[in-house]
Amino acid sequence: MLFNSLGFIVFLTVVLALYYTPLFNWTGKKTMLLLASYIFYGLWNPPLILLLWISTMVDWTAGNQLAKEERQNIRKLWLLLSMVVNLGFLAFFKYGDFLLENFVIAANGIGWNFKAQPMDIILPMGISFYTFQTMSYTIDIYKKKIEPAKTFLDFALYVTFFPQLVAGPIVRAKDLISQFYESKKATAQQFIWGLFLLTIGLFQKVVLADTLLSGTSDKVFGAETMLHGMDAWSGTLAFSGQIFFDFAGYSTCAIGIALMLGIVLPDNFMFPYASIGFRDLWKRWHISLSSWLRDYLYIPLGGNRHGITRMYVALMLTMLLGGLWHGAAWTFVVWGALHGIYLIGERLLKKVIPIKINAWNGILFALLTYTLVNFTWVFFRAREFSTAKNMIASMLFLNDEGEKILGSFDIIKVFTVITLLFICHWLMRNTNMKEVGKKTPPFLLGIVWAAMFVLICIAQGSGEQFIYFQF
Amino acid sequence: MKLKQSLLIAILFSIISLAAWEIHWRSKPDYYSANLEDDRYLWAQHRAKVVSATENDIVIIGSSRTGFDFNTHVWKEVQGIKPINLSTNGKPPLAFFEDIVENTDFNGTLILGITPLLCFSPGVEQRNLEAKMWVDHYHNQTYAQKLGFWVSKPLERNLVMLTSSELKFYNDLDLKALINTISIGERIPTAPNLPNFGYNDEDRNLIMFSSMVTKPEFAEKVQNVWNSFLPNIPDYEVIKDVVPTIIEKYQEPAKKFKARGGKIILVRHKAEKEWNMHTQRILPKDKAWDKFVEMMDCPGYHFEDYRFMSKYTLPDWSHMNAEDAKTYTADLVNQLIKDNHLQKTN
Repeated sequence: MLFNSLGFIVFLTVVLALYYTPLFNWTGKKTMLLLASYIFYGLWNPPLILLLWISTMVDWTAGNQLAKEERQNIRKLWLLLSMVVNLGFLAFFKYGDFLLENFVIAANGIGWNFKAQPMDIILPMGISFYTFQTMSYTIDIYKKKIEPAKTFLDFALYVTFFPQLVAGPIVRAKDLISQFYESKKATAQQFIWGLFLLTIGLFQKVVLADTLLSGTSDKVFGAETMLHGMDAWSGTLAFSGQIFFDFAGYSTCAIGIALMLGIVLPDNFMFPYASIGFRDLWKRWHISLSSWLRDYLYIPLGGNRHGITRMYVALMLTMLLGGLWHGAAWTFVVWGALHGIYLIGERLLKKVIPIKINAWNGILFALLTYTLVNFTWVFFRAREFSTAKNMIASMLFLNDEGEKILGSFDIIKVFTVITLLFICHWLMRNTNMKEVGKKTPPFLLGIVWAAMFVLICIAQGSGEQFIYFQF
Repeated sequence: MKLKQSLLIAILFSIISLAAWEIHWRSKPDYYSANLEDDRYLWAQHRAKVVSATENDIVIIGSSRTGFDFNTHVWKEVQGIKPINLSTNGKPPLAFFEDIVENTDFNGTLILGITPLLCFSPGVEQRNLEAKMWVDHYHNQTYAQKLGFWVSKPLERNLVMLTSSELKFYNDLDLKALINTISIGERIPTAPNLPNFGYNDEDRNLIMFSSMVTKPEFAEKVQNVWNSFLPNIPDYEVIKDVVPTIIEKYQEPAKKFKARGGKIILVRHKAEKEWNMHTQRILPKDKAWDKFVEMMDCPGYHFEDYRFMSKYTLPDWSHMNAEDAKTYTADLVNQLIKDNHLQKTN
């Protein structure tokens, strides 16, 4: 079910009504939330709830055994079972076709004329998110960082909690399960702020991403010819805005909906396009994934504990796998590799040229970071390397004869939206929405809220799926 | 934070703004009315009826000409059965035809409306893909989408501002469409936008705005759109090698459909002036329609062969106005009954 659909508005209204009527005690409310979450997921493709159940059962069992078991080799086996099931699902459903395709290419490369029918596997919505979330649970218990969930209901709800089930934030057990232990009820302030966040999230998705930017991005990346530099830049900038508004919009909706239930989810985006450097970027973009990769991949790979070379290798591997997490295609791997190179390059440069960041040079570095990020988005968005190559060449103004496919208004629209986005991120860099909300006069906040709501209604939208659902 | 105050202000201003927006569109009743929009969801709802359709039922496929020219209510009055209308704006019928043949057991009567330039001219592959997306939507739509459509029905039936369509040329009251009407400079050549010139009822009959008849300048806007691309399509001599391969794609599904007892009736609705002139230039009747009818081995009704089909004046040279569509439908159904292709059941 999509947040940007009328069906979801009805669904949420019913859930909130049941949650706040005195019909149920806290266990009853959690059971209702769990059932609602299964309905939320099952309305997309009912049989795939089975995967959620299997994942839930395996990690619940593994978590309990890990907590009880003292023998290290047996504990390792339980952890291995959790990893194999979760990563196995991910490998089969997400990477099955990709692996087969590459196997065929490799086989043909060595002269074995092998042909295979594509498996056409359905990608279960949000599988990358909920498998990472449940894996963090068993890993944390294995490392004795957390205790297992008190009840199966608490754990099942942690895996399935509908606001963040299909596209995050990827929440750690210690941050979410513990909230289920005691009765939760949003205060009036929390409820209204949650509603406000839901409106902002939908505004970002429906108006900014789908209405203002997606058309230009689709047109440019769908072009089969070499493009004029201005068109290539407009398409790439449009995509950079689209993916931010799409994904941050989803996270904001998720945080807002959870807050309306009295549950607090962590921030997933902190105005990333005002990042000064790439280390800063990854502390601001998809925070729940980058911190997951840091804790469960980068640090276990050695992190910065085994010298500079090993650290760079760990960093690069983390970014390559982070790229692959986003999608089963080599373009995503290149996207991850570019980020790895940027991160390593930044660390090397900092050693050679120590620069003190201030307000004046900061914005220039932020602009430079954002510009470099845009080159990575080309690989993220392009379906083929040839498209990416053409786009990069056009963006470097190497195609004198590039075709113009965008009208002047399209270009002005994209540059206006992106400039405002960048300025907004820069101004918000060291604060957050709540703080700004506190300083804003209630009347003005109300007007802004109304304007966003009205534009969502006028945009109507055709229920476009969130981009990150496919990851 | 005084959030309650902000919420109340937001509710108040939202109601005022949306009411003003609704009133604005309601003040143009010639062009806007509240109705279920003719999108893939409504199409899928009608497509679902084919599953339980019997040999006595009739399914109509074709493009906008079929949608505007037929009136299924009149059809029912004359013959006694209301056809399932699966015609779609701007899309050739091949994907829908294949879907009915391959994915249903329907063995009733299939009325296949043919607009040669849409069905048989180069570029049809892309149009077929767009049609296939609707077919895929029917087969793959989720329960969430069905719920969303069900919830949206009462809103669409009552609020004019919600009657936008996913067909780009068919709406201009949602934000994206409104923004797309803005044009600055001439960086790239732009084609005129096709204005919306009709609406639909819940049986998916397309009904032309009366202003297309009463205001020639409005009809002229539509004619200008046709004139912006029709002259650019190459002559038959240039495309003659590919046309037969396009036409042949209908052959296999037709054979299969007829083999299980289904009947196909081909209809070539009227086009006039530039539309007809360019159609004759690009796909002459003897090279396209006649070959198609021969290949399909089905009864074919071409507007040039019947006075009752050609007697109308088409405001935009391509589609019938609502009143003419009624008599045209009645005349054609009577002709089909007379020719024993349909049985009168009332």
